[in-house]
Amino acid sequence: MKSVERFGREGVRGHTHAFMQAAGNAVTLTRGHFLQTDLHDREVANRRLAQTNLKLRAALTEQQLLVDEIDHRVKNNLQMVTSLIVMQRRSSGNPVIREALTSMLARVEALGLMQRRLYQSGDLARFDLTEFCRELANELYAAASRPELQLQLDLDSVTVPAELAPPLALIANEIVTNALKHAFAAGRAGTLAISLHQEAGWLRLTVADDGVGIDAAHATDADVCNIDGESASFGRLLVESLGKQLRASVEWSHAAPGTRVQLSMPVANTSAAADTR
Amino acid sequence: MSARPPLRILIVEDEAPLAMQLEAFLTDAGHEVVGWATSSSEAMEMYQRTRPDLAFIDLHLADGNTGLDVAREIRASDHSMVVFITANVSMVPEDFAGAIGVIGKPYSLQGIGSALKYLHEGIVAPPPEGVLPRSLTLAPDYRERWSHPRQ
Repeated sequence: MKSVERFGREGVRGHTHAFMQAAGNAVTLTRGHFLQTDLHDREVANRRLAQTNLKLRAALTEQQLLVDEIDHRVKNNLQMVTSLIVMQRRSSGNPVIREALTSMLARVEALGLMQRRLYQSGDLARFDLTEFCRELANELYAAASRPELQLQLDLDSVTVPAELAPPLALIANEIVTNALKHAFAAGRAGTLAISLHQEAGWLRLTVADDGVGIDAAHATDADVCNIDGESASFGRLLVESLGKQLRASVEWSHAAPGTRVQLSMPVANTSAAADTR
Repeated sequence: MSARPPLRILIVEDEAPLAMQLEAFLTDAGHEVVGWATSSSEAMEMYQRTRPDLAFIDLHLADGNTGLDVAREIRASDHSMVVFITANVSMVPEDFAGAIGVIGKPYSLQGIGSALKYLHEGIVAPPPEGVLPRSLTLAPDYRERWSHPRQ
């Protein structure tokens, strides 16, 4: 007679336990009816486990399809917004309105690039700030059509939680666009240097130019944004508000020559954001 | 606009603002837009009638996810080139249904502009002179034939 090991009904609690029993060594019994009862219990538990697994797989597939669909709609809607801005700009004969729409287009396009890169990476929780900055800078530089200017990029590998991506994307767009637009008079050669570093607990994004300097650049900016009596620079206000949202500091300083804008944010801020997900 | 002859282009897109903007952009760049179709049947009818050099096709059209079918049918005739413009880049099959490549939405004006310039060069006198822009992903066979370092 074989040795006895009995699986009592009391011991079979839920799928996990049943699975462990089913996956264990062969069971030996002394009495036939125990064998029948135990085998029956395990078969039922295994069937339930298989059904649960099927349901979980189906739910996961459905969730992935929903995420894909939302991603698709967000991208399409962003494209729709840019299309409307472009068409409105095309039909306007007013240079001030055209200029304002061009700035707005750049902001929406920056958000579009952010969305595209976020889903491209396959990791929806983290945003590759480095690759975003590289693509954004190259795109804005190419769009400026200023071959007399040089673009220098010095970018550490930095990722941030996905929820920080929109404000960071908008700030980066604003300060790079501002430099390309206002730092260099037409035909003036110069360098635009963009750096991204993460060191000693700080994330720092710096945009420095050797152009006309902060005072002259701001005078121009205020003029451009003077729509319906609104004389303040909307771009600068936007950057400062987004900086506050990020609990980051944004400093505009003289670079002698030129202007230096630096966003500084404790890396702990990015970790804290990740923890609250 | 370079000295290259302009392209005759068919737009297959079910969203009106997107098609409007693309048409305006292509026209401003000196190309001829031969038509705008919103469904697969309309696309094939326009294709047969106009025989364009290039068709920009969205994957999702007014009659469902039929963009791939339109592309395969157009490519079967071997007359026109196809480029997908879609927010669903991952749905483009490995063989790209015979298309040159795909432009992901949302694209910027700069992005579509550099892609168009590259495509223009490649279609009129392959391989393209310029470097492959980030906004355009080439199908494997075109990547081989048109290979240049990425911008």
